[in-house]
Amino acid sequence: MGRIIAPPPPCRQRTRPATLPGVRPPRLLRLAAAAVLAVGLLVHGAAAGPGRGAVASAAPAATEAGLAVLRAGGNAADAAVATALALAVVHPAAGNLGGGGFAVTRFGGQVRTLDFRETAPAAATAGMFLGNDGRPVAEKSLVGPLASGVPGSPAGLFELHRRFGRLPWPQVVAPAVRLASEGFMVTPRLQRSISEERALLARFPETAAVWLPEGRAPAAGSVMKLPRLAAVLAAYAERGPEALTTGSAAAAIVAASRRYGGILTTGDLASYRPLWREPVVFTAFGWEVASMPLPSSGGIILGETLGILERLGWAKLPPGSVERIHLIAETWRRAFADRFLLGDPATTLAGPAQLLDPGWLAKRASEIDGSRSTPSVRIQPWARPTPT
Amino acid sequence: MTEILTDAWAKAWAEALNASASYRGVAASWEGAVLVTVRGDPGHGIEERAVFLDLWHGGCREARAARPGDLDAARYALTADASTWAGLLSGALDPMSAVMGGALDLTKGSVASLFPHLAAAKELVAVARLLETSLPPGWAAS
Repeated sequence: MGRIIAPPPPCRQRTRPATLPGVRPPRLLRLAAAAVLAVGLLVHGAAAGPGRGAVASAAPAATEAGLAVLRAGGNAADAAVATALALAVVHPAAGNLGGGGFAVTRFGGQVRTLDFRETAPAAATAGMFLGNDGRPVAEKSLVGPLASGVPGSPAGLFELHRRFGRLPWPQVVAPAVRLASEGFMVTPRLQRSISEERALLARFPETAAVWLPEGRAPAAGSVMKLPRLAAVLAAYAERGPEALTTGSAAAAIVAASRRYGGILTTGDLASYRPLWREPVVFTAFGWEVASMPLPSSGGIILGETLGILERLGWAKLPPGSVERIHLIAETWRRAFADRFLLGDPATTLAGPAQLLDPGWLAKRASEIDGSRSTPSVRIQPWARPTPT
Repeated sequence: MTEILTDAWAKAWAEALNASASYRGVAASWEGAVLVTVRGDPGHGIEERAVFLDLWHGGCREARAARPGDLDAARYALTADASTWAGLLSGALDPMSAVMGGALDLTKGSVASLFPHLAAAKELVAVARLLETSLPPGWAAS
C-alpha cells in the first residue's frame, strides 16, 4: 500500500554506523556518508565479505539485518537491500514496500545511482490536489491513496540486487520475513511515531488494524508481529516484484486505493521501471563527492552548501563556534531557497549546471555577511539571467 | 468423491502425497505435522473440522481427522473459512495470496519458518486439488 501518512523528515535522529571489525571506510565513502542522510541508501562495493563492512540505518533491527547478510558473505548491495526491507517492517514511517528510494553505488571504482522513487500514476493531473475553488487542498497531497505515487521499492530493490548482489535473492529478503513473522521489539521511537499519527491511522480501518491494536499504539518494549506483511515479503522473495505488482496483490492494492479516492491502476504498478542515472559529482574541501542526481535534490543541495562554505573559509573557523554555525545557517537558507526549483529531470527549473556553477557559488558566498543574518526578503532563488 | 476435511479425505490426501514425485522432490527437507482447520460458521450450517497430517521428508507418515492435542503436536496450523478452502482447492485462490490477504491464517508456526519450504507448501495444496472432493451443504453458499 502506498504511503497513507506523510513520513516525517528523514533521519532526524543521528545514526552511527555499525561496523564489522577491521573496517576503515574509504575516502569517497566517508564523504558520501554525509549524503546518505539525504538519499537513504549508499552502497559501496569494497565493503564486502566477512569482516569488512558497515551498515547504518534508522532502526537497530534493520542494521542488524544488514550486518547478518554481510556476515553470510553478502556484499554491500545485498546488505543495503536487506536493511531496506527490514526497515519496511520495523520502521514504517520511512521504510516501506509501497514507497520508493534512491541508491548511490560504487562497484569496481565506478559510481552509479539508481532512481526508484515513486512516479505519478498515469491518471494524475495537474489539478488533482486542488479544491473546487482552484486552491490547493494540502491534505489531498499528504493523506491517503491520492497522495501515493506508484511504488518504486519492489522493482528498485530487486534491480539493485539483480545488478550487484551476490547472495541468492531469497536469502537477502529472509531477514525481513523473519522480523515480520516472528516479531520485533517496538522501540520507543516507533511507539512515539505511531502515537503522534494516531488520528490519521485511525481514519483507515486497514492501518488502524495493523498499527493501533486495541485502539492505541503498541507499547514500547512489546513484540509486534506482522504476519500478512511476512507473507507479502515471502512472495516477493519467491517471485520478485511481480508478486506485488501483478496478480491478486496488485488487484488488492488498486482496490484499496480506489476505496479511498486513489487513482492507481494495475497498469501503473506493472509498468513501473527503476532508472540508473549518472551521479552528480562535485569537489569541495579537497574531496570529490558523488551523490544522487535529480529527482533527488539532496546531492545538488549538498554540493551547493559545501561549495559556498568552502568559499567562505568555513573549515578554518573553530569547530562548534558561533561563526561556523552562523555560516551554515546562512548557507542553508540560500541553498534551500534554490531547492524549490529542483524536480523531475524532465521538467526541473534548475539543476547542477546552474546551482553548482562556480560563478553562482561565488555569488551566493558573497551575499553572506559573517556577522549578521540577511533579511529573508533579500534571499532570492536562482533565476535564469535575462538576455541583454 | 470424498467429503473435504474428513478422515477419509485426509487419508486420500496422504496417499496422493506419497505417490507424488513432485511433492517428494520439493518437500525433501520438510519435518513437521500440519493441522488444517475450517472455521465453524453456524449461520451457514458449517461445523469446525480439521485434519492432521504428519509430514516428513517428502512423504506423509500419518493422516486422519484431528483429535484433541493435535494442535500441540503440529508444527504448523492453517485455518480458513469454508469459502477460502473451497477457493484454494478449486484453484481460484493462490495459497500465498490467501495468506497475504488474511483469508488463510497461519495460526501456529511462522512464515519465516515456513519460508524455506514455500514450494513444498504450495505443492501440498496442488496435490489436494487433484483429489475428488465434495463440499458439505452450506460450503458453497458461505
